[in-house]
Amino acid sequence: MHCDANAIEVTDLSFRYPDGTQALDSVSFLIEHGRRVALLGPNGAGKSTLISHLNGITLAQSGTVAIEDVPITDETVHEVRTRVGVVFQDPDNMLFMTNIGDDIAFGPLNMRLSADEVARRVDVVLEAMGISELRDKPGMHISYGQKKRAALAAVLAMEPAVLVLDEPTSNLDPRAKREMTDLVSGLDITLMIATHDMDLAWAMCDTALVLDEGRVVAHGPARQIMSDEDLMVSHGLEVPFAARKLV
Amino acid sequence: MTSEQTSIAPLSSVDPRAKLLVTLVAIIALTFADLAHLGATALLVVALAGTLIGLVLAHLLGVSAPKAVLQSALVLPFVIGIAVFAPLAQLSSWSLDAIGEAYALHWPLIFDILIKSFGATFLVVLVMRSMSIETFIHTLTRLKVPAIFIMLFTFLYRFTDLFREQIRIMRDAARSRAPYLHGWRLLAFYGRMSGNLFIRAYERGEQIHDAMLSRGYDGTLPQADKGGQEGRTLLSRK
Repeated sequence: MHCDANAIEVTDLSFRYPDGTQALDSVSFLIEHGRRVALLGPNGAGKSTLISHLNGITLAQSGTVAIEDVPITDETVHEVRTRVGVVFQDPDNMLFMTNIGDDIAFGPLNMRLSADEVARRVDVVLEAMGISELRDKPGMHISYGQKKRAALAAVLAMEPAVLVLDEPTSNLDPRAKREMTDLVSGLDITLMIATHDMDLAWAMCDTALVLDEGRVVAHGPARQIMSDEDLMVSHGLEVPFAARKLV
Repeated sequence: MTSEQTSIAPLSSVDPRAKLLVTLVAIIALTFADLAHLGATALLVVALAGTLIGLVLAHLLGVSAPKAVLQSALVLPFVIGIAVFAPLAQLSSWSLDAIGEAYALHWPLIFDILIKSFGATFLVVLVMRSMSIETFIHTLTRLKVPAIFIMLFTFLYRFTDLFREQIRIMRDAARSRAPYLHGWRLLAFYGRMSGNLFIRAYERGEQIHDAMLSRGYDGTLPQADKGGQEGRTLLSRK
């Protein structure tokens, strides 16, 4: 990890889908290492498209995305994917192997690590996520909360420098949501969390990045931005409950 | 595929490796059996004997024979399309007389292909329904099947499961809003929705592919060098 480098630097990034939808329009921002960034915005704001650019699932049509000062190009995309872990919203999409142990091993094996190191990482993340008993279970046959944890474990096993979470608490019951929040809070890593859960963002993030119609409409201290009712409401969001109590 | 073996089935305690090996041998024997030169009576006897053996096997394995037959029948539309033209491969010249002669002499080829295809599929379905998918994959590992094949099977199974899941979602959605849709009307509905089904399954497959790419998948399938240690699972070990 290059601690003196910026974790994420996006410069003038634009992306248009084949149907003509302008998903991202000259998006620029910079995230330093160790930041916990809430990626906020209404549906269709461009959050998922931005996430897909962060580890090269989608390559920039114009502009640049750099991870730890390494621009994502065809040549660097594989290296970048070992630095940026993305946990997608639907854990079913992330669990495709025969059992959870193999799903977690998939990423480290793609990094061409030794069998011993892969096994060590699998053991460590299973233990850390509290899902050791799921090692031999198929991803299809466990609860949704367990799937969410397993998907997170599958990415953490790659020991990325930057972790991007897409709606980490969606569809979780209150207990599973609390457990997931505790797990993520305990991670010492640069975080970007795309969420509609304003209370989660308020509790966990020190920085907020608000997207709307493919543009960055606000970027700065999370509590300052999320307390701004006019800003939040005008972009289809709401002030977190905790912030409302402060007012 | 769902395992439905019960503990009271006579062959339930047989080692899964033995089941797979016997199935493989049976399929090879069936493939090389010379049915194309049998007469009508002999073919009928073979078909009846095969049916009887299949029913007995299903009983011994604790598998529902009707369900296995239905599942195996899925192969027939594809095989029939090939089998009906098989006698044409024996044509010496392209004329109506020659075509008629080819079908008159080589019609057993059609049944040869049908019996072998359906029989082999039925054997695979039987053995697969007699064990869980986890047991099947674990057994392949114990049989020292190359990991690449096991992984390909795993992916294939995952995508098949995906397809089934999309069918279930669409069926539930249809049933919830059209409770009286059944029979031919239901079939017609599925016909109309089949294109949509493929698109949805494809899109879901794309999402899974994206998730694979994000974890470093580059088109090659990684395998752990287990260094001579016994692998308990395909990729990880304990």
